[in-house]
Amino acid sequence: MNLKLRVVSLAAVFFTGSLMVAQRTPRPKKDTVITEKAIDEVVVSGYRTTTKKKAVTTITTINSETIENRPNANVLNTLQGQAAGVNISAGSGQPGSKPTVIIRGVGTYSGNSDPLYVIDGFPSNSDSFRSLNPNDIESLSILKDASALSEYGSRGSNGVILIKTKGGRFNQKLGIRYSSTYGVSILQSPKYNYSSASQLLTLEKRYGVGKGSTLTQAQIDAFPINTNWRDVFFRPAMTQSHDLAITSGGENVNSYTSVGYYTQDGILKTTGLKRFTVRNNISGRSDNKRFTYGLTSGLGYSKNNEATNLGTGAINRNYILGAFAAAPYVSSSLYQSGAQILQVYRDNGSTLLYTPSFLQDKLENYSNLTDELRLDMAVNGSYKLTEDLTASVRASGQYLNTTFFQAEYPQSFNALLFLGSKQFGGFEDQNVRREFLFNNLYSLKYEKKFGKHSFGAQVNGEYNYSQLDALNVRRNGLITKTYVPGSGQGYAADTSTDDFYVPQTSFAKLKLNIISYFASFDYDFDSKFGFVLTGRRDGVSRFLNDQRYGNFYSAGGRINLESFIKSPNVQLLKLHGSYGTTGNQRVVDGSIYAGLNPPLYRDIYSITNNTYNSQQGYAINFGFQDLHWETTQNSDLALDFDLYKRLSGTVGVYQKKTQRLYLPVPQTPVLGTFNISQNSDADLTNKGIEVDLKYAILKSANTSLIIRGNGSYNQQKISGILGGSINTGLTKTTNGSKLGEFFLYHYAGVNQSNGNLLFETANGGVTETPTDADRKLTGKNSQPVYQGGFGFDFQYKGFFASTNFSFVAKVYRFDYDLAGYFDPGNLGTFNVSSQLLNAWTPTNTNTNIPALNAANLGLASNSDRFIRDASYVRLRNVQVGYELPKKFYQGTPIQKIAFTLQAENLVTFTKWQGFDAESNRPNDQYQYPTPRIYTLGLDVKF
Amino acid sequence: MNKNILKAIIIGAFTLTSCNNDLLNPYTPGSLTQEVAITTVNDLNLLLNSAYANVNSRSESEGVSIFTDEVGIGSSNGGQGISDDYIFQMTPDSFLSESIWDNNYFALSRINRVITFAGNVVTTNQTDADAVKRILAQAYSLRAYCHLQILAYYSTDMTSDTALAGVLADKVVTAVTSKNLQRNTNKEFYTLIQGDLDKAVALFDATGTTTVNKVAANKFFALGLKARAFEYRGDYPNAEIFANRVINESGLILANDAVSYQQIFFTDNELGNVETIFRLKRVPSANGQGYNLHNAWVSIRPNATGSAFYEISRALFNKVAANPNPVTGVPDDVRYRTMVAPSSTIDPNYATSPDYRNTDVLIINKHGGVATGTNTAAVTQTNGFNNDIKIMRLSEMYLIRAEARVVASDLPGAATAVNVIKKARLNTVPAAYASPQVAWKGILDERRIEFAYEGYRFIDLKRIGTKAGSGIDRNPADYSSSSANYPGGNPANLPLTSYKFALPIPRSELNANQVITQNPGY
Repeated sequence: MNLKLRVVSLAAVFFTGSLMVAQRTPRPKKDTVITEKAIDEVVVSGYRTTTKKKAVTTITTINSETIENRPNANVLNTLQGQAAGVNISAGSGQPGSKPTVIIRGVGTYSGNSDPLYVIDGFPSNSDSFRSLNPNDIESLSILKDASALSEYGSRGSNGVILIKTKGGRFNQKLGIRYSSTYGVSILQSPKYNYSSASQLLTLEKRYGVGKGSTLTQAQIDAFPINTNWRDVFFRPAMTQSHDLAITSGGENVNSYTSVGYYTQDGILKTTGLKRFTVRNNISGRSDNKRFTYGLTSGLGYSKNNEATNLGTGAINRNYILGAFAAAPYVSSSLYQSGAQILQVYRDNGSTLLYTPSFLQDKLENYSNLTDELRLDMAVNGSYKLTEDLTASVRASGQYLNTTFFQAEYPQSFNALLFLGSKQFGGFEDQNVRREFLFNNLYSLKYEKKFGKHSFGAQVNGEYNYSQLDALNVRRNGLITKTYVPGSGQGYAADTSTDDFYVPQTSFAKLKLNIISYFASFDYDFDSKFGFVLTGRRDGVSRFLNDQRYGNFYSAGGRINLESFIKSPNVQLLKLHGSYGTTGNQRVVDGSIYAGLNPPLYRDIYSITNNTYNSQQGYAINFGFQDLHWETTQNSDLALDFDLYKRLSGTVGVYQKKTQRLYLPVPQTPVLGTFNISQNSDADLTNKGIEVDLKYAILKSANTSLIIRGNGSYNQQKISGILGGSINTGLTKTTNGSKLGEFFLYHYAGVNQSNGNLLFETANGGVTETPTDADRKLTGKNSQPVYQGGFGFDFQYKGFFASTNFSFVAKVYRFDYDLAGYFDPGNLGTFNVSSQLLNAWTPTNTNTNIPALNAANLGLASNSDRFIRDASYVRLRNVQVGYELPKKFYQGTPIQKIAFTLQAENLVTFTKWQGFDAESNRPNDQYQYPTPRIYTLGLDVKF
Repeated sequence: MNKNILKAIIIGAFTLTSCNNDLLNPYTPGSLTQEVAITTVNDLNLLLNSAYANVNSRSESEGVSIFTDEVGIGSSNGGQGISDDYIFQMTPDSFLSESIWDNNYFALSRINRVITFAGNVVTTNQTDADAVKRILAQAYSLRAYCHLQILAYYSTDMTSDTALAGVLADKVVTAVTSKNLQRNTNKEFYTLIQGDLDKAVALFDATGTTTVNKVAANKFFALGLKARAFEYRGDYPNAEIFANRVINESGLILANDAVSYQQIFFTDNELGNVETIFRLKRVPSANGQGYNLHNAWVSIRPNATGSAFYEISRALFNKVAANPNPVTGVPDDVRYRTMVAPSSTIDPNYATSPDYRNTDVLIINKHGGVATGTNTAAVTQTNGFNNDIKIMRLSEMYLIRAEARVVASDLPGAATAVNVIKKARLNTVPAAYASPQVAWKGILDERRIEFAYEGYRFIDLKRIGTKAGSGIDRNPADYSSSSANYPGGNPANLPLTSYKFALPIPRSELNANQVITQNPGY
């Protein structure tokens, strides 16, 4: 539904579960290097380590070279296009916002599809990655296969991303590294045909509305104002970062210490992110090397200014609406102050024409700030009890303190607009959220080798605790003379006759416990074949009684064909496959705390205030008695290869079947609710193919050229929905088809005889008045069928260049921005497309633009008229660099000086007309677009 | 040594087992199960309050005003209505259809719990026992009210015994027993409605509740609802009996001057014996743009600068503005000023205005408005004033009596009944009817003005539009003028014969129910 525009008052924001402000997605990307340095490279597979050769799963690892110094506040954005089967989409240009990460297709209807993030062994989430410094990350590994995921049983269903922070090495010289980047972000250009002031006035004159209807054509042609509102609300924005890292290592202790500063202004005025991070990772061992220990600690502090009301029709709140939709014949210098623009508004019949002026006022007279302190601490120790038996213990904690502040100043347009008869207007919110996560792991590991037989076994116990506290306060009524935002000064006090000035407060506390036991066994014969078995039992404090336990298992095996071929040209040719189950207990989407209280396993009565006649009432939350774990069956088969020391990669197939899917099963309103979230009868299957390739074209001492690419195809199918389908109006999920397929009238063009819209009927004819029966399943939804990335890395002496393209295909979305530009109802107040000049008239019948006053224009919103193909190929990142020859700094302590020039989102090939083809939403209107970013980086090592 | 460490670790690891069950108990403070939640009279009352809250919605007033002929497009319209309700789109996803069905059934699920769980409440004294009876009496009244709403909006013919109404909700249903419910007939509905109302009246009488508590379902609401239900069914002799009982027994009088009439709508502070039989109470602390009554039509407040996206339709304005007092220039009828905000700009040449939408600004004043100036009671703001929703007023009883008189071929009697209202509203043009159709038309028009923006118009057109020979009435200015050009909004698109006068069973029901009979046309 195209958004309805109006002035909107802001109720107090209460956040408990997830982040407070509309927090969607961030930013750009760069190159991709699939790490396959050496076949015997140690890889982490869940709780175990193995080698590339012996792993029974495909593990894609992105290492620090790919991550470092990219202008992405959130490291996840750097992952885009790097790994087959991993779809990452940013939905917002807001610095620091969180992208959507989906591994091997969406495996849930309405539950959570976020992967599990394991940071230095600590199972966590990605909600506060804006406070994590990407330059501290050593590697990111993506686990997708059954055998690897099952070890994370309780939370592995959506895939697992392992993050390892940097460390030192033993017996290493002191190393100092300084790196810095400077950059600028700019708005990408849309392909919409915005009307100029004179075009818009002409259209208004034709349509008989607004200013245009009062002017002569000569006056219109000579109209002196033509404001580009994008230029008013957007800006070229600066980015810079400074990182200093020190590594050192003695015989028995080593350390990594870093200090980082990062600042990124958003291209939308008033938005931005500043971050300060400190990390200190220490590890050590006893003289006999039987005892090892480690301490990792990371502190991040970030300050984030975010745009509010994004994607809404709040004409007085959503800056983007002003930038995208404001009429160009309004002058940007009309605005002087909140009081002045309010008078203008009132003197002109409350017209929404002055939307951009209201928003200019908000730029001046509103502020918000989310500041966040994030502390990650982990200690671990392990002791070799015997040569074969090792005992380990680890404790990790994460503390997050997030304060959201926002203020609408008393002199602002909005405060005055809603002042009524009160003396003091405006408001201030201070919301504090504290989160503490704790994880404790005990493990015993046994490893033994008899001749060509190797065995390994491991048993583990794990305890995981999460707690959230939230405190929210709103003050209404600010005294202009003394109010200073966030200072505690200038609050109007409560009076006996009016409760308006009473502070509103709320408090919430939520807790979640998970206790798990798990074991694994692996066997290898002479590096020729092997297998791994895992089993896991989890208990969670989300369900009752026996339902709280879930059991998960997996089996995986491999055959190393290269051991049989014994050719020098075949370094690796490994066939591997696995089958296993994983669990999910996040019944509803949102943070890990969503759906905890009131619980979803009973009909719950909770007291509500002010329910009727100032009295309390009982809210009823309808529950599902047998609520329990959701299980996903994963299976996969893949071939890993490395041939002629030039061509390496993986080709694989997978199937992921979520059984008895969590579903808000529709209920008749007679029951008293719309739906009950439960383990439904429906199953959701994603199956697909993944390919990952790397080829070294040139490999010599001075020159190397590597090309690489990955791609995946995913097919989704749901079955077992009671009643066959779930219809949400514009979309429908039908058994045998994919999730959320668009379900619409098919737009068939313009009736040349009267300018009305034509739609296809159920039996293939055309009609101007379609009914529900004429809706069709389009076979399209907003999740890509194909996605991937490709690029090259080139090096010649000190010069290097690399590119990374990412692509998605067969993905469709509503372009509601476009729908707005084709809506003649916006004439008189907002801008429209200049294509409307070609609208049908009795004398202009050969056109594909309906008459401006076509009787059935409204039906377009239930049709596919504004569904657009959002496939794209994007040059996500390109960089060129030069490392100064050593001769320039010989004799100094400097070991390396390199410069890098890079650009993010430089070119995009797409049919999508809007600012950004990339999005994590099925429709877009008035959203914060992702920018194009250019940066210059300097890297110095001592 | 090694073995000790091993032991320590193993013991440490498995210590977790001992506190296992405690740690895995869900932390759910404040969440009660039904057995714990409903044990006292007060608990029962909390549940009843939730039932009230579910019907305490402006959506009927809002949806009906747009889907019929009460509003025009306002100067601050940002797309509201013009692609759906205003141009008479009606689908299973439509706002009016969804909200009537959902609100009433949600309320019914709470009401049926009140009625069922009342038996679980142990009372030890007469006060408590009476309190339970009063709660039950309200619950039965509300159950009848919700069923009558469902019948009125979804039945194809309210006077037919065999036509389908909605799903009869006379007991608590569970996720299992609520599968694939079928619609019941009007007869079954009317039987339940009258039976519930009889029980309610008996319970009110048993507790000696004689005064009217306007913000709760009360005895005279129950009696008035009986009259309304008989009227809907076409059983006019009975309708008149109960309408007369309310008129004669309630002790209420019509507001008989401007001030007291406007108090009913502007500020909800009319005297206790004036007019209102039942209204749903709203409080300043529970407001917000999505909830506040006046925000159905304006963003800020009901005055000229209040950002109105809907205004008074020109046709309705012309009707209420007819017969101006030659001295004051505006009608004496108090309903004129109650409906039309004093800050409105009236363009006498609206029909030829080059920019009708902005030159003719007719602000809906009725809910939370003001008699003079712009300082309205209603304002969109934290703790701002929030109008009650009027469910039944005494004037409806006189108009039921009038209809009954027409059916009894007593046209003078009908005129007399209508004139009681005209007189109270200071209208100087008394009614007189030359034929039954003229009488029906007179009653329909009177109801249009009397109950504007209170959610009556759709049902009134459906019930008596054909008898009155009068359907959707919009002025061309509101759908085919220069700056309000919405051809879909032409009344020709919603004739009285349209299937859309029985709303579609909404999407929310269709998604859960594969067997329910959809109304024809959808």
